Amino acid sequence: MGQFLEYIKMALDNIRSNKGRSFLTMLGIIIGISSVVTIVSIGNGLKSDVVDAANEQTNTVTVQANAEEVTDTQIITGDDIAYLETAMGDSIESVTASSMYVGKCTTRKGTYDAYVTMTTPDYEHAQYASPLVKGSYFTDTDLASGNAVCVIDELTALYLFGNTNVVGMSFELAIDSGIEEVMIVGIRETSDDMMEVEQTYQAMGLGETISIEAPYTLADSFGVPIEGFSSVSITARDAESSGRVASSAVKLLNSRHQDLGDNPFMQQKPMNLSDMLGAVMDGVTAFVALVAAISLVVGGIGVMNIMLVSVTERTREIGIRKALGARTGSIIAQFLCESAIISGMGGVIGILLGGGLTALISVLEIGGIHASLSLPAVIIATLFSCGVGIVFGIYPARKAARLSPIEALRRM
Amino acid sequence: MEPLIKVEDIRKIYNPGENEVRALDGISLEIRRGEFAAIIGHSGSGKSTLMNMLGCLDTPTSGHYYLDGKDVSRLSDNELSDIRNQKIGFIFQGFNLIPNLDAVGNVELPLIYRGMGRQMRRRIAVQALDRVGLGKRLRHKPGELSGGQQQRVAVARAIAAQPPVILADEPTGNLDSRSTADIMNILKELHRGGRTVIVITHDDDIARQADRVIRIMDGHVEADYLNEGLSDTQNMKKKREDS
Repeated sequence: MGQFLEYIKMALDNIRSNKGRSFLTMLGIIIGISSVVTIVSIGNGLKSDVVDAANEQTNTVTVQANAEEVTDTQIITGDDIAYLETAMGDSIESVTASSMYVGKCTTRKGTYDAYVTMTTPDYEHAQYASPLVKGSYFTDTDLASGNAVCVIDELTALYLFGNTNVVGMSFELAIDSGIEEVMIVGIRETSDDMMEVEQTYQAMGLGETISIEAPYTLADSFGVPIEGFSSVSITARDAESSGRVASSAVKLLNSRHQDLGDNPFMQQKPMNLSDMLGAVMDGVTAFVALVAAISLVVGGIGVMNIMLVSVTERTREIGIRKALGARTGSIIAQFLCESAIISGMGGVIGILLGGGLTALISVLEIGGIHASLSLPAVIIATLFSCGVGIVFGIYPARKAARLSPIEALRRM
Repeated sequence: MEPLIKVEDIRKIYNPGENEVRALDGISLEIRRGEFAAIIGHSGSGKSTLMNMLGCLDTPTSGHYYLDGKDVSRLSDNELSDIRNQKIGFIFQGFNLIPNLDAVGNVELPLIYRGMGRQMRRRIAVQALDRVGLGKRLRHKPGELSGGQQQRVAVARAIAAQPPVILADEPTGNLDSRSTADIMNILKELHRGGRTVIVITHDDDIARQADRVIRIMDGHVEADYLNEGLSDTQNMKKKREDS
């Protein structure tokens, strides 16, 4: 141990007497480590932002037919939905079920492909739905009597009529073999984000997105009646009670459909968006960190280069040391200490720099990122930088230690 | 008493085969404890190779070398390092000091490799430097010292570890006449203090100051005689008669 301290002291002496060169050698490691630390920290921050965003709005749960228990999954009837609404009362905001149809609609402007959502009046407040800007949503009466009414969004209105003041106007809708004249009762807002997406689609040469919402009983008029839905979305009053709401909805539906088996219904496994996004972010961070780590390897090669130059320059010193009794191991230890200290110091400076950059990004909120310093990244970076010094120091150190003292002393 | 150095029929052959060079071709000699011997020869005579053998810097192709009773002619590199560290104090023509270490740092080098503690090392190094008259130059680096002073640092380094053999390879080759006299006086003083001193040189004047002269030529011992009874003044007279 005492000997080891001597080698560290020798290494420090030598680094001190070659300050400029040692610093330049460190620079590669400094840049490598600080970029790895900064990138991983930014990745961390982005990940927690994204996961937080994904974790919002979980008060809507979906109950669906259990496909393992029942063969026909279209088993949730309009009566079931009405029953759930009354039975669950104040604990829920809305119950919706919907079925998608593809049809064609015709106005003075032309004929367009349309996506028709056949649904319940509660669909007005469905998850992720935009608010109504004109008119009103179709009602329970419309549903009960199968009125030919519908709600469209601003974008659809623009496509079909060229303007959005279209409440009360009608157009021709064809689904399957049936054709009906449908009246518009309400207009949904089209968000700016959606507008942008639509523009991209248009630029790609894709057709217009026409979306129409109508009471599901209207399907009868087209000759494709809806007997039942395979799933129902229930929005709870708050996120905390959503789990309870889901299980009691499953219980209620099961008791109404005992003829279909023991557990014909189940809660749809919520697609774990936050886990998925987190994994994606981890992947991206790892990839970028890997690219940054390449600069560490380049830095390590820089250390090796300088150590090789140093060995050549100090051939005589090595010869003297060997003549005076330094063993092979002593020379290796001395040179390894030197390269490990150079890259270790580079690592420490790099971590400080990376930590500083991270703090700066957090404080200034550049790009809205809340970067948070990652402790594992710091630990790994430290170990890695010392490792780089040792790995890339081995070759020069061995080269030094293998010099014959006679040869080394002869060189002037 | 067993001789300190005993060399038996040592040969060193480079490039064995067609173009072989017999740097040492069967040398046998003994040097007793406390002797002051000069090994003299022209360049190419094999004296440097012999010095490398005696200094355990190299191993012979054949033959045996017993140093302090131990056969060191077949040792590994690391074992030779340990022998050099404990048994031999080197003084080189080119001083061979480490430029970024000060005088004390250079003198304590062999002690570091011996595993000696810091305080002990410091004390011994300072004593050794004091002994060669550099007690006031402890913190000077080699570049800040004259040639003679540098060689005195090297002498201090050679004697600090108290090795049984002091091996000086052309110790005055790079020095002016005054520094030469200084260094030779220090060596003679060491000899009087009981040390075994071996000087390798091509210079008859230097060789004449030793007790014993071993003359090497073409890898053989050509002559081996004592300068006994000749004091320094007599040497001076002899020199004048010669010229």
